Amino acid sequence: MSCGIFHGDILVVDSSCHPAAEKTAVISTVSGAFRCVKLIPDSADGNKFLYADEYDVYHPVVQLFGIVTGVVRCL
Amino acid sequence: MIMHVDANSFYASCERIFRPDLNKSPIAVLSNNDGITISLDSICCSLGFRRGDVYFRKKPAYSAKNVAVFSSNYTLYADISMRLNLLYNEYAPETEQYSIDESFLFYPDWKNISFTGLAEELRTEALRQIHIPVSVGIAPTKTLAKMCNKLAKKYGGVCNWHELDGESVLSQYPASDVWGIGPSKADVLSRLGVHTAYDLANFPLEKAKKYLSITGFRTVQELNGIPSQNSPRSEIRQNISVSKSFARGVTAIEELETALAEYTQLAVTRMRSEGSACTLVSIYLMTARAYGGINKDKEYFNSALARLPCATSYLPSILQAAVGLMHSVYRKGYSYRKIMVSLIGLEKDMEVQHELFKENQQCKQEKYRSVMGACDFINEKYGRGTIHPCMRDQTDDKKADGTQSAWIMQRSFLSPSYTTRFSGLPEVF
Repeated sequence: MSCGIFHGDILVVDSSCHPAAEKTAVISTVSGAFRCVKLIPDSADGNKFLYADEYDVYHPVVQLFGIVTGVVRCL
Repeated sequence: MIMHVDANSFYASCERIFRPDLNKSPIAVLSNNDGITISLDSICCSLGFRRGDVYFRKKPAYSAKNVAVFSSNYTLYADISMRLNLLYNEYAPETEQYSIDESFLFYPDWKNISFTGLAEELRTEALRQIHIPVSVGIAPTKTLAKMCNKLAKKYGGVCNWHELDGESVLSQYPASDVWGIGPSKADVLSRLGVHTAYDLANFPLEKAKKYLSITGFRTVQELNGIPSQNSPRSEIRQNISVSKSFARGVTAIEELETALAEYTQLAVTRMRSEGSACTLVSIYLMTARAYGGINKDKEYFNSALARLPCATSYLPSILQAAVGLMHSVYRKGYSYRKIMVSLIGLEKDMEVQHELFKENQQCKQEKYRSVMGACDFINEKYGRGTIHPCMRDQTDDKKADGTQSAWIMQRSFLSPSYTTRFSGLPEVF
């Protein structure tokens, strides 16, 4: 991801935070895995969010796990 | 007003939090040593499985219906329970944790507020923040709140007593399902012609006291909207017992000593957290039961009790007494399956009566309290068993040859400690 998160980092995820545009979030995908994404507001419905996959295809966020508020990195 | 909040299929819901792939799959959680099913989610129930099913008998059916099976992971459940209770504290001026998945929220003298709206918000936040579905019952007494919670599970998650036709609800609610009415009291009530909660609410109080004791009397009062149940926090526990079945039979006394040390430490930690000290120690040792007379000669059970010189919460003194008791009841040649340690005659640690003819008792007790306080602090911070009696010579409870000790609980389907161990953190892609 381009927001300072690298492979192997430990994410601090706060489930009590409300989602907002441009926030980095952990979501659970339909395939049943956790995924770290940047939230994009859905123009059709202001309360819903989308995320772009690696091919820049947009998908709706079905289940939000929490908002990433910090990163722990081993040096 | 009182809210009773109960997490739905708590253990199964906890296992699902970090497994989004199981969102639509049935989940079953097994008891200690993977014996029986203790928690099922609604999908699993709809497939015909029930709580109490013996796992090894249901194993083929679970596999056939793709049920995700888990061993009980109490570390995870306790952590999620703690998070839920922190959330409840934000919603009520006073709360009382009744069990790992149930809490009472108290709203004394709260007026001009929609309790149903508040409960709906609490449900939404519990699901959003902790990912656990909860049901809420709202009523003026604990017993009615518990009853409403049971109804809430059927009617969308929230049930407010004041929005119900009380008489009609009580008439349809079996007396045996009322909180505080166990099987024996239900039998007595049935013989007296009391079959529904409505009958019980109209049961004469003097008869309730006579046939159901003071607890039954309180239940009748509560059903009539008069708060009568005491807070358990105000009651001092009389004894603390810790007992677990072993995964396999244990014959060696050294292994039994290790198990005894673990359970005694657990019991003493619990006792100390309540600020108590014990005067008596009891242990109970048993082999597997010989049902139907088969292997009767291999069956053995015995118990022993010792009085301590004075009430104490100092682990080495209690453990020394417990080990002595075990040596007195241990018989060679048997395969033991369970050991239980009980701390009896609890009293307030700060009010202990010292021995008259022994000098420096108070000073010694102060020293012991400081030592045990430091041990408790370290174990709480760095994990249970970080400081442990030297009888438990292996911290990972493995024998010298690397094999797992027989007394250690069998948990073949244990999920990672997602929230309490770095190695158990879920992976994000």
